Amino acid sequence: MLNTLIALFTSFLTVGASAFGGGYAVLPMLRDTALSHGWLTAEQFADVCAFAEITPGPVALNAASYAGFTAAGVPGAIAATLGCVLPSLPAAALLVLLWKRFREHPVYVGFFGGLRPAVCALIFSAALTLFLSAAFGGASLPALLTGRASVDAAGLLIFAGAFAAARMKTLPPAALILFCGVCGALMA
Amino acid sequence: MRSRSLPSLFFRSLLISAVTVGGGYVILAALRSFYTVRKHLISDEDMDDIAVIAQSAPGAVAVNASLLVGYRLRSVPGALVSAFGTLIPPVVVMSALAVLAGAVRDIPALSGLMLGMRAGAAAVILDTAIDMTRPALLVPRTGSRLNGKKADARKTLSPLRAVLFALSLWLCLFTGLSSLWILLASAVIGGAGGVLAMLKDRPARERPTTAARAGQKTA
Repeated sequence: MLNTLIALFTSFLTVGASAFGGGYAVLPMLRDTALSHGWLTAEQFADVCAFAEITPGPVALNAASYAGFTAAGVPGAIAATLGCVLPSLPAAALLVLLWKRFREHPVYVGFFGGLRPAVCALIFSAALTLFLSAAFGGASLPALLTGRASVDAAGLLIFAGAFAAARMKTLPPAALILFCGVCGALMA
Repeated sequence: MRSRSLPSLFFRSLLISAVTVGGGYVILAALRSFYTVRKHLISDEDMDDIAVIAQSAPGAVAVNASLLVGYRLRSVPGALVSAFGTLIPPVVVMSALAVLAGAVRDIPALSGLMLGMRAGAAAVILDTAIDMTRPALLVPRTGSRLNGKKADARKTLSPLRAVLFALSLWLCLFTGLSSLWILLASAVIGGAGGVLAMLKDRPARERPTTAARAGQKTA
């Protein structure tokens, strides 16, 4: 038990310290961490992503709490979330100092400018993982590309509709996701 | 004045975390409307700075933002209580949800609900990714880099960032490389691009200086 708590705390400490770009960009890293330790299954991880967006609070912390709870109950949720939060304190303090002095320095601008495309790529990859889980039963991307994945028609249909609605910004994200859930329940 | 006290900071960040659905960017808006618009404790400019730093620092944007607000008002103790306030709602809500999800997993209608929600979440995240990528690949036109906000209207695609994006995406999707290395590599290459830009700028800027120095020597 104590070992699990320590493992949760240290793993999520690493996640928190390297989580540039906020909630969605953290999802691939959270997935690797939670799956490699066996704290969540791939399917549970996909659920976490959906839950994290319809519940209050930061997405990254929601995901950490859920993984921690599944692994070791409430103490696990606290250990994982605390680990996720702690690195922010020294990191933000350091950045306040750097930002005051160097915010227009080409190297500073280049470093954080270079982070942004990678953050976007990570978010695309998080979206793809979730898409594969919803529309292709969690098949891998290579399996999909070689035609070895079986399609889940309901999932694909809901995704297509939701994507169109999201692009048109018709509903707030949480409401849209809940609505998709209702559609899924009706189609099941 | 009471909004600056440590207990108030703690409960305010707890409250904001408990009622804002959707994470970082929503929480930034909530913090601004309370501390800047209603209480006038943090100036608009300071709040802009906090937003930029919260998004650059590692960790959840929402946590960084509350923490920086706490830091601004009450230094390190303020930062600590704000961070812990933000942490409590996710722990409580998600633990409850995990219990619930475990209990109802085998009901068919609910597995349909979860499937639909996953599809919806995938769509929302993809939408966010598309919205974020466009500005991330643009840079101010050369020559207007230091003019700050005025230059924002005229932006152009940065070839370096486009390559970094394509490369990162390929690495994410087709290799098992940890995302930390992808982030670091992209940032370091971006920083190296900054060094190159500096070296390229320097001769142009120093040419008159060298001429002036030569003039001094002869004088």
